[in-house]
Amino acid sequence: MVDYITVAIYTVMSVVVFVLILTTVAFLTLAERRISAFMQDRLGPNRVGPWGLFQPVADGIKFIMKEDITPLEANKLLYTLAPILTIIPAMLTFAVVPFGHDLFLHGRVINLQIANLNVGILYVFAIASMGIFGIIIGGWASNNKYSLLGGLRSASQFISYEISMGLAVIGILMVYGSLKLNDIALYQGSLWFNTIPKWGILVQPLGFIIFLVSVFAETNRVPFDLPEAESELVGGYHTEYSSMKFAFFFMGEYANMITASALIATLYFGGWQVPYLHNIGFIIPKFGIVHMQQWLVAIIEVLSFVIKVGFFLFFFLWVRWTLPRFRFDQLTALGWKVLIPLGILNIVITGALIMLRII
Amino acid sequence: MMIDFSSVFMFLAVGVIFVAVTMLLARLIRPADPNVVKMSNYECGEDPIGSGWFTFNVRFYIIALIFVIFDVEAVFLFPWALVFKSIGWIAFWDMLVFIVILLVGFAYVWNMGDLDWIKDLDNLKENEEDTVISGTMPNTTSGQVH
Amino acid sequence: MISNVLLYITAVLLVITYLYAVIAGNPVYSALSMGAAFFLTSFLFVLLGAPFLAAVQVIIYVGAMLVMFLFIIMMFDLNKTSTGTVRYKPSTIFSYFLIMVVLLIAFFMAKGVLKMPEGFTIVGFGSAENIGFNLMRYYLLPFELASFILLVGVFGAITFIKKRDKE
Repeated sequence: MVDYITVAIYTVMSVVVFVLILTTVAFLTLAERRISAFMQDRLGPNRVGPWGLFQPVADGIKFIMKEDITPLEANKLLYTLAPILTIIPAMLTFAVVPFGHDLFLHGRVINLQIANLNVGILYVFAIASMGIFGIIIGGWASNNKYSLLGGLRSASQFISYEISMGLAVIGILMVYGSLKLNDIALYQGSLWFNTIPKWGILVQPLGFIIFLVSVFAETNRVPFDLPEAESELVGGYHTEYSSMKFAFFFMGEYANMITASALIATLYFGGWQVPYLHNIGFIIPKFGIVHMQQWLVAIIEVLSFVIKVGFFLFFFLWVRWTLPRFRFDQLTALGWKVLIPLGILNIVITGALIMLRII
Repeated sequence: MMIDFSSVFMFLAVGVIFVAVTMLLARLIRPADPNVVKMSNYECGEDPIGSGWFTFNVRFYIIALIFVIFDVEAVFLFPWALVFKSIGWIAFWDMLVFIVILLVGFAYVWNMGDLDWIKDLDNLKENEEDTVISGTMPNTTSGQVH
Repeated sequence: MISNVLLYITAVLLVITYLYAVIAGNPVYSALSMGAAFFLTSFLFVLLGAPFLAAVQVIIYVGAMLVMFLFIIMMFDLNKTSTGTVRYKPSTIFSYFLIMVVLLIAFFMAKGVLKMPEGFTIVGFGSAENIGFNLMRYYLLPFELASFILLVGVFGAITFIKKRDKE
């Protein structure tokens, strides 16, 4: 029997999470400009509203009002389809990310996550690999040389780093033994030698570095932003795009960054976990228990998740103004010749350590 | 099973509605004043030469081909990693054999130079003007078909 | 009930998308239609209770194979025929039909022979954990052989490319 209240709760949650991601995307564009301005000793956008807070709204209105130009020689159907194929998978990947412990309300278990799929992290890989098509098709359909090269570079960069990302995640799966992101977050609350929480970064330091680098490459961020290297390829795959279609590409890219940050936080920094915080409150070994209400625990956990994701979003922006861009041959060499062998090494080391009961 | 996926479809529906509404709204509001110059392809202000659909370097294809094989390998590792703890040493040695066999293939590919983006660096220095480094713009003689 | 209806709708869409992949005049449309078909196949796996296969279907077929197809199409600049459909000779259609008949016969012959392996559990059927257990317990040799097949695939791919490069 279908439980209508549960369905209603998840529907509301879907809408709320979607709106929250969009809002984060909007303010991320502002944060990017403000932070880059700060790092370059400039002011950045500060005229629309206090501290320029309404700048994203102004940008949004402008995107909607702008004329939409489709090149005469472009393939019209695919040209329109490409931005949609980019933004929808980018949004969908967030569906499996948990942002809090399960809530127990009047006999119902509410997961604080859109869908607790038992393929978990594989779903992220699957949907993310669909997102690449928007970029290839957008580059191809524009019938522009810069666009095609941008799309191609993006695709081959994506596939070069997908394997190393997968290998890094396999290390995590070996330790925690579940594909579900919620389980992975949950296990990170267990204690090592009864004192240290078993966060991913502690049990998989090498895996973390591989994953971090791969994620930067997969989201096309500096230092891996070759698909849109403005000095050689103008705008890359979205050179010909304007108006709302351009905005969709743009939003897709930022939404990918949000999911990437959420994944880093969930796999390696405990997700929504706060060290020693359990359902009933803080349990500190050799010290005692601080009791807390369920709602308070839930709020603290969601806040902890938001802070972790926020930090990694800042990290993305920080890196952008710190590192120069790779050359394409360096990029493929790093992916294939460094990260993949390291990923395999990481799996073997992890396997040996687990068998020796160290982790 | 289906219940889990149904909330994914709900999320998808929200996304589709958002995209459709935004595109419709933008279509109703925005001006539409196309002309031939505006709708021509962008090529840094010049008239575009030839088609944008040029044939590109085979290296992109090689990367894709090798990727297919190693992606399958990674997929084999996922179910193994999940049960690794409960199976124990057999799983460990088993996977070691699996990985070593594939490493032979990896070493072969590496040795053949198919992982290098720029092949034959010495050769490149000798006749620099003949060699096109792929990933940059194609030259007009070999790059364009039309 | 609902999942049965969804199953039939998916099956019909699957036939349409695969058919369009065969007859589309523009190879890029053809490839994309095939991508849609791969995705629908994955949905079929979800409906049949095999989520791991569904995810793998998308990761490998959509994420890897289709990228390769698109690269080939773009690389050889095959997009000359822009719209319309491809016309096949009647003999070609007939031979496709024959292949289909042979496959159907093979399927019905195999149906009686195939049975569930020992130790097969229906609980958690199709989950990655279950597949992992079965691979490690009952199918160790096929598992290792798979890596050999992949190895042969690597050699084959490189040889093929080298040949192409020379031409």
